[in-house]
Amino acid sequence: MRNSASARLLSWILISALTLPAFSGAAQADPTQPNPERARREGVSDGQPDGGREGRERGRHEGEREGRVEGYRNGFARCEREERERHYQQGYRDGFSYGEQEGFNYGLGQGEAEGSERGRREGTADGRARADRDARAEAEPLGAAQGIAQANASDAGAQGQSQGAAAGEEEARQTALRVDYPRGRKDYRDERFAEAVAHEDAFSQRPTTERDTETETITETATETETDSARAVPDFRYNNPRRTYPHASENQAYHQGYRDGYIQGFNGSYRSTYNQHYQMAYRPAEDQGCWEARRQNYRPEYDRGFAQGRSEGYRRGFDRGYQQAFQNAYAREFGPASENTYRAEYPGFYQRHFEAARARAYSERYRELFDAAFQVAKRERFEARYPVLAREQYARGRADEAEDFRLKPARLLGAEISETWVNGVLEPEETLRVKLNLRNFAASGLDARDVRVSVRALDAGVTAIPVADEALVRGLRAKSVTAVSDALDVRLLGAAVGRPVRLAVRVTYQGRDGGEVTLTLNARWALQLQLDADPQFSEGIPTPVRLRTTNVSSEPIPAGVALNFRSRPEILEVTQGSAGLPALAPGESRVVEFTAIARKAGAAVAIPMLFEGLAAGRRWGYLDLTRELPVVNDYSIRLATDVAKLKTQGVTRVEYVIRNESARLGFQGLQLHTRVLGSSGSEIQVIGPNPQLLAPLVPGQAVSFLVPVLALRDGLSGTLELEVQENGRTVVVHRKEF
Amino acid sequence: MRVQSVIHSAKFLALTLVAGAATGCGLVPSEYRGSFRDAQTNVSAEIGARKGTFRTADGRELKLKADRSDFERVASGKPGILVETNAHSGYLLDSFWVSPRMDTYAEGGGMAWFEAEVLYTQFDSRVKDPVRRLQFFHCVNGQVLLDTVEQRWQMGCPAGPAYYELRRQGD
Repeated sequence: MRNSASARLLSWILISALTLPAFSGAAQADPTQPNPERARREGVSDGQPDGGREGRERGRHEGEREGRVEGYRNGFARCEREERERHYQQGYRDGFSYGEQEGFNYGLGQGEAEGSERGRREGTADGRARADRDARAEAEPLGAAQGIAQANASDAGAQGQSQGAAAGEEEARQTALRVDYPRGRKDYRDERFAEAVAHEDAFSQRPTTERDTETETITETATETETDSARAVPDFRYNNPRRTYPHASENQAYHQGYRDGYIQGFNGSYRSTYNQHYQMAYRPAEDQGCWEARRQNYRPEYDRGFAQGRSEGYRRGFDRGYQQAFQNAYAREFGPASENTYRAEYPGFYQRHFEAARARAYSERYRELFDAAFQVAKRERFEARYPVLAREQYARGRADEAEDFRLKPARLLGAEISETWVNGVLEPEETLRVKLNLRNFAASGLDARDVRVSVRALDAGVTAIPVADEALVRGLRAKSVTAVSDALDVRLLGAAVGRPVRLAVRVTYQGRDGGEVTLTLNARWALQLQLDADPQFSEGIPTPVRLRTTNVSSEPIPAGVALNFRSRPEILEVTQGSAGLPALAPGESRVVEFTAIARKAGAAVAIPMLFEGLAAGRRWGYLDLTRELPVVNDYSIRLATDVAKLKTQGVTRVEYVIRNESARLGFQGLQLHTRVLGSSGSEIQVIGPNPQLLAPLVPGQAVSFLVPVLALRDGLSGTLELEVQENGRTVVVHRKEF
Repeated sequence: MRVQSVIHSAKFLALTLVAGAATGCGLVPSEYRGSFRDAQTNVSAEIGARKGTFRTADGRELKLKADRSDFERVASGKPGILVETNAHSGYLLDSFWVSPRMDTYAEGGGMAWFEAEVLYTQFDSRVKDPVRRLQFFHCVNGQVLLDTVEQRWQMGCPAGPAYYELRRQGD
């Protein structure tokens, strides 16, 4: 037994000597202990050359490709510009010379005709003007003297006195009515309002105030926005981490180091290789583009220059010929026309000027005599009558106002709107109440049933008023002022958002008016919704739709508002249309992202979008809009077969036409996946290879292809979907129902 | 309709003449003939007027004769370099290097199809000097699809073909 134990001890010592570092004589590093730092360095060392290899390979390939494309484009554009300009200038010179001669000849004839005509016309006008001027100077003094003598002999003074007295009487009566009657009413009213108030009361039209205080919390949904880097990154095509270590931490460090080294190696070689090959490819491509541009047809540019030059040359030639001929003809015709007209028209002008001067002088003198008598008579009559009439009207005004206060003792002093969702925002669907200040001027109390308050909308279609008229729930005490709260019941509709809404609040006592106040309300949603940016839709491609939400109220919006997004599925299929919103402090904004797929292609597609935020039965925000947006893909799809044929049993060969709409010069093959969607899927299927494969299409190229579809019976329905991939990347998804 | 048909025929004839002139005596334009190699992948190509050899990185050779591509030629299932004028840009020639596997032949719905090794490149008939580089894409699991009713054909590669940038030897 002891021998056996000794043997076990000896063998343990021997094994330990062979396996443990202390016994194996390891000098400094302990190989059994993990060394992640060394593993990481080795990883970096291994990764750098592999990454460098990818960087060189891709830098060369991508640099050449992009240099070629850019060079061709720039060379073509430059030389095309030069050729256009050169052809245009040549055409302009030729056209100018031609047009200048053409215009000169035509200008000579035109100048002769128009110069003669204008010389005659202006000569005639000159003769007439001289005759008029000379006749006026001679006839006017004689005519005026005759007019004054006739007025002095008329009845102007007697007429003025008689009419002035009547005017004074009427002015005194009107002034008393306009000034003293309302002054009498106002003085009485002011005295009543200045009376002491015996009671100040306040009550609510509703026993308990109804307030909506939703504070339920719904699980918050975080929205994250992914960012995408546009710079070149390695795709790890030569990823080859090849060392292994005994410890997991070392393996992890090695792989991390390898990845870091790979990226360093890639970044170190990609840019320089790219630039070198870009430059090498650019120059010959630029020459090629230039050569191609010079071979284009620039005849339209020459023609455009010729037309422009001809037009301007014609204008210059015409002006020169026209001026020369015009001046000669004008001078020839002017003098004789002027002299003949003067002689013929002088007598007529003399007669007209004499009579006009006589009539004017008569009228002015008559008015002077009449006014002097009129003003004196009017003033004397007014001063005599006004004091009597003023006293009468003032007394009448006070009496009428007193009767009014007796009949209408309840008066509306003021009104304002109060919220039931108290957050500083008047929201559509919120119940709004009216707060009024009433005064009873009577010496006795007023019965509640006799005092009614009412509200009516002054703008159509933007309000709902469940309670438009009601009697007070409590009477008004004698000589009291009473604040009445929570009266009536008004709701603004969604259409009220963004426009002022006017309400008229009125009080009556026994049906007689006690005053009216007009209130102007501005409705808003507490949660303002607006598109953060116009979505960039492509047909069949899931696209983010970002909505900016902002709390515009003065109170926090609790967590859990559910945002919903809807559209018309045949235009825009919303694939992710709901999101939760965390609590929003006043003024705080959040952007929420939805996803949708455009199903209709076009340069400007009218896309309806409806967003709303709901929580606990309350709508917090609402946005209903239609935007015209482009829905454009790299490839367009057109069906050349009526898919209604798929409703017939048998094989239908569906023909599609695909066109490359992009300007990219990439060299990418296409994969065409066809599917039948819908409940009839098992009874209708695509025959043949799926996907079909196509060689690259150059920009602008269109080809057609056939997809045979087998329907097992008549009357099936569904949706035929074609997904086009460009080297594995989906570029368009086309759907058609049948 | 008749006038349009005549115009269409005239265009087709003109394109054919352009392509024919560009290619000279052979089907492959002279500017594209010669030896090309991708030093990175060790892929190479020898291109003549009426034949070509493509060597893959592992040394496998694809020796093919060039031929006009029409429906009967494609449907025959014989390997070859099929050259045709691009339907949209008359100065471009689509060039398919195809090696069919007729054991995969199938048909239905007025269509027939089989798998093939496919190389694709384009020749530009406007080029006047020997080209220095040639771009290919290549797949071993390509597809040839024949419309036996309309006598049309198409071929292509699935996603992820190999891309080669071959440089003229001696440059």
